[in-house]
Amino acid sequence: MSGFSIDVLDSFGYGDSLMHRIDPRAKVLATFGFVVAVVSFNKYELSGLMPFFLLPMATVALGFLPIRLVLNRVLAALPFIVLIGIFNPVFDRAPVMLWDGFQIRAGWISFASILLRGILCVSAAVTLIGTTSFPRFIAALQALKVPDALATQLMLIYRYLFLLIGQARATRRARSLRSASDKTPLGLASSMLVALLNRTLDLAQAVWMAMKARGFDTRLKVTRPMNWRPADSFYLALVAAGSVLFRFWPLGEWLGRMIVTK
Amino acid sequence: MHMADALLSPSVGLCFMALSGGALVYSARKLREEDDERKTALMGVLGAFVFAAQMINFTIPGTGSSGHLVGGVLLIMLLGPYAAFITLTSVLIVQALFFADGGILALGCNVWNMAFYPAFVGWPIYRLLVSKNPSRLRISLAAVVIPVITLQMGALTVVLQTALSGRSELPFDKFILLMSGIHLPIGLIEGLVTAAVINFVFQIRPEAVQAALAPEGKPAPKLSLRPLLFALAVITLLAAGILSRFASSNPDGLEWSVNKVYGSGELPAPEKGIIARIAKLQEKTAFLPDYDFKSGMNPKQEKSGAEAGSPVSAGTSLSGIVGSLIVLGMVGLAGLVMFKLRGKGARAQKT
Repeated sequence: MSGFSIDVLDSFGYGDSLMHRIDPRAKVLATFGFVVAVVSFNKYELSGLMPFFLLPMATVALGFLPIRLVLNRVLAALPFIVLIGIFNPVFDRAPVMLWDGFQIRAGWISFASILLRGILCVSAAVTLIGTTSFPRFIAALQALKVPDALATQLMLIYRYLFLLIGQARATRRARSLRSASDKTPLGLASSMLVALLNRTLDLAQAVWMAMKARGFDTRLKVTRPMNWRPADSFYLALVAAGSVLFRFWPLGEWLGRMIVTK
Repeated sequence: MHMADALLSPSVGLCFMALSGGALVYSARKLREEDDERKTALMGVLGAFVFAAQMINFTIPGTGSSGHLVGGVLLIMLLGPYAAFITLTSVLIVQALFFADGGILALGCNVWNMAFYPAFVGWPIYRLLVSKNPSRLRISLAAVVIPVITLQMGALTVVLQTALSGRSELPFDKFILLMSGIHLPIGLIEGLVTAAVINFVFQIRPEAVQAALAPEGKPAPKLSLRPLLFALAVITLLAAGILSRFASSNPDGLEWSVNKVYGSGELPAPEKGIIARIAKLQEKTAFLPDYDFKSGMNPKQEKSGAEAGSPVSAGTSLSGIVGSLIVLGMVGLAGLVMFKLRGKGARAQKT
């Protein structure tokens, strides 16, 4: 896991665009439904998945997100999917005739399908957080009845994440400046972790005292005023209808049949 | 070890979402009962620490590669099971959104594999090994043993979830050997680093370790066997699900005896009544109705992937490929139009 681009991705969530203004609850629900629709296809599906690229594409375009950012996250997530999926062509050798004289193993098709699903699902998650600031995302979760304890923890982690990552970077750099070798043996890494953890525990104490001083009553007020507009209903209905439509109506196949008549 | 959306079926994903959601609600209630306000800040900051700790890479002895602390068991030892479960769940949500580790539907699976096991299986083991009076030796032992056990359980569950979802063709037995083999050294190294870190902490701040085991004036979270039994029941059910799959594709199971009785592999289906109706509904909703394409396929008879008997839907025949390309082109075009239409007014990035 790299620390790279988490702050960049985070900063995009605070933008202002058509996509950013949509109620986070609508976006969370729409994204969830989208992912369920994508993974519900049978394992050999390819053409049916294609129309689903419309949602991430539209979110990138209308949410002013750089495509590179989305691709970067997709690439980071692919190795595990490829590692597992690449066994499909090895074990599923049933031949599939694509056209006369061209035949491949069914496993390659299911492998390609897994890759497409991976790309779609990761882009859905990235475009969700790229157009929704994390506090707004937490507010949506709270409105959707996630336990308060979890919402509070998400908020606190988010607040101290960047601070502690910065400290870890400083610790790492301090070590590399004093050392000739790039390698960090286990023992040394443990000492660095202890130093970091020690500071973290101090921080926890300070944070606790500050919270107490402000009259903290076991529950962080993370809820921000949200108002559901007709546009939000429209967005949610659009994504839901699109997901259902493209899940059951094979657009790609239908178009293909119009051209390739055989 | 993050499970990915791409390898999941909706039913497995939603099922684990419900299980993890249940554990979350249970933990939140237990945490409220513990009524230890100080933990709130500690949980949040330690959750952030997990991310920071992952930036400190170390060289794995004997190999050229490097690893980092995962931190699950460390959190259990400093927070107790319920607080640690909620903190680890938050960590996994942040990872799914910001780091593309796992996915939105896979979140339930990942919480189960990487937060539930350390918290609800690891904690009873920790209490058993360390009891109320921690010593360096006991803490170290627990720190090494728990990651090994909980990572193995997590790896096993990843295999079960993948196999039940049916998107990957990896044979169950080979996959289990692979995952278990990979996660054994990972667990050991995680254990060694956790032992070193928790021992340092125990020396300089014994109260931090003591606090989770025996909070002042309150009984420590007890050694409850219920969650452990529940976890084992879930694993057993999953394994049973997979085994029954094997059994059903194996002719010497129930079908074999039916075969002997009726002379054909299937019972004569009633033509009327509720069973017939259910069967019709099932035929309509099944993605792959009851045919065995792998053994039944003969390449010579096969003319086009679109024809019956092929495992692959019509979507992958030539017309399907052409159609896919057209749809992709249309999506790209729609994207271009949207890029043009959106104007230059709004700026997305905060400066």
